[in-house]
Amino acid sequence: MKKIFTALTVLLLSFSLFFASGCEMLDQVLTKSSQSTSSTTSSSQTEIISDTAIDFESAHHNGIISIPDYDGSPYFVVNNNEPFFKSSDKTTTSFESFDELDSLGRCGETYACVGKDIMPTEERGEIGQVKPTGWQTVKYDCVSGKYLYNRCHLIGFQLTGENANVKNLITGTRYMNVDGMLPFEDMVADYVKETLNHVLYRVTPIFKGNNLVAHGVLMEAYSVEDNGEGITFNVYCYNVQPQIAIDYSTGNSALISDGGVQTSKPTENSTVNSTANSSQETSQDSSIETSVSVESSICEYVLNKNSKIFHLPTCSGVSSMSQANRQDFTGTREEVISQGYKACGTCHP
Amino acid sequence: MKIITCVDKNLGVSFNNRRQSRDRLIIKDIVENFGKVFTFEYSLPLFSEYSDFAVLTQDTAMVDGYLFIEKSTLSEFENKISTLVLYRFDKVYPSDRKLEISLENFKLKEKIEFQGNSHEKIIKEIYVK
Repeated sequence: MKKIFTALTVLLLSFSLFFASGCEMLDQVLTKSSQSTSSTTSSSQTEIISDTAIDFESAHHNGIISIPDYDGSPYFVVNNNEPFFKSSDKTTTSFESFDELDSLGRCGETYACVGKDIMPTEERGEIGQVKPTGWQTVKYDCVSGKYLYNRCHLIGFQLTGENANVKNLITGTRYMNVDGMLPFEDMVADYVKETLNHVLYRVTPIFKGNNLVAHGVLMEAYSVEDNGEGITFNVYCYNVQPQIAIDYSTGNSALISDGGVQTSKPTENSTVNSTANSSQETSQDSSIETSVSVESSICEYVLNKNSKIFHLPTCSGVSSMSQANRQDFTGTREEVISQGYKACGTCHP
Repeated sequence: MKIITCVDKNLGVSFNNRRQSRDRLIIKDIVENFGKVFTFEYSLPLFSEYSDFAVLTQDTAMVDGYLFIEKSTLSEFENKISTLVLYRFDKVYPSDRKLEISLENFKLKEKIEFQGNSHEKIIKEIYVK
């Protein structure tokens, strides 16, 4: 098993699991895939960044990184945004490496030095053939694009062009993929394209025990040539979906209603309509095995009284909406439409 | 006071005390349309190809013309701004600081889109009071 980091700091760990009756603090240790090895395409270690490095894996086993309950923000800043790269990691040679899948078939650490030379030059291909651990095809009305889960690239396709690499795809919620990870991926990608500099970039999925669905991902990045002046971050993105409860051990899910969790289970062979946006970092199975469609589910929406467009609360259009035009609404999609509102073309509520 | 700044789709201006993004064609557009601008030390390197068009300042009271500023919520300037030039990246980036002035207090005078060097679409909006 490849060990990239040496432990210099002892941290305590407490994590929260969100399922069934809602948020619950669990003082348990999250474990990364424990039987993984890695393969590296190329690497070069040339200079010193600093002498501070933290073995995140050991930190999970031995100490604490205190990640609070998800509180409405898709990510949590870790270690004051200072990544855990060690001094000798700094390089201006592009590379990417991926831990081998563990005994449960789960992805491990993914690591790259992102440079323009390894960024994709072609459109992303099909990835629907990959079934990450915990994968289920499930739909909810209150999820943008309907599908709860995306095949979520750990190192985003736009960074290194990894397509259907099973060591780089996990079962991630639409929310984590789009609201959590994508803004950071785009920030790094655009920085590299503009400056032609390199960015050390690592994404580590964090699983609790033998869970098949990750609790979240740790994303670290550091721009090399300017010593982090352009890009420096260390964030934890929660693998959650607002209004949906997830059983991380299996990937099962349920809609949370005002009165608690609705106990509806995914339904075998139920009909799925094809309204999801296939251009996103997701794709549907060519043969859908399991799905649930909650056509009349009660969800939260944000209405724009001026434009008569309705959005999901997480839509980027909401933050720029005038308060005078904003109206929060809880109810079914059909009720909103019956009031003359049209669905936002960005978040597809 | 005439201010030029950059924002993302959520009107974010910075994350972790760093600009969210940059594009050399924004700088080119600024120089071509607004001429010499004042700016702070953080942003000065962006004008390395146009050093004659960037004036380093440490005091906004000394600014006589357009001020190009990054990472600022602009709240401290809200009542002083007569013209606001926004370059909007057509992306959502992480942000822990956002624009804190109300654009409803301004009138949109001009809006154009152009392709950047590293961004497929950049939207330039000019607001006046």
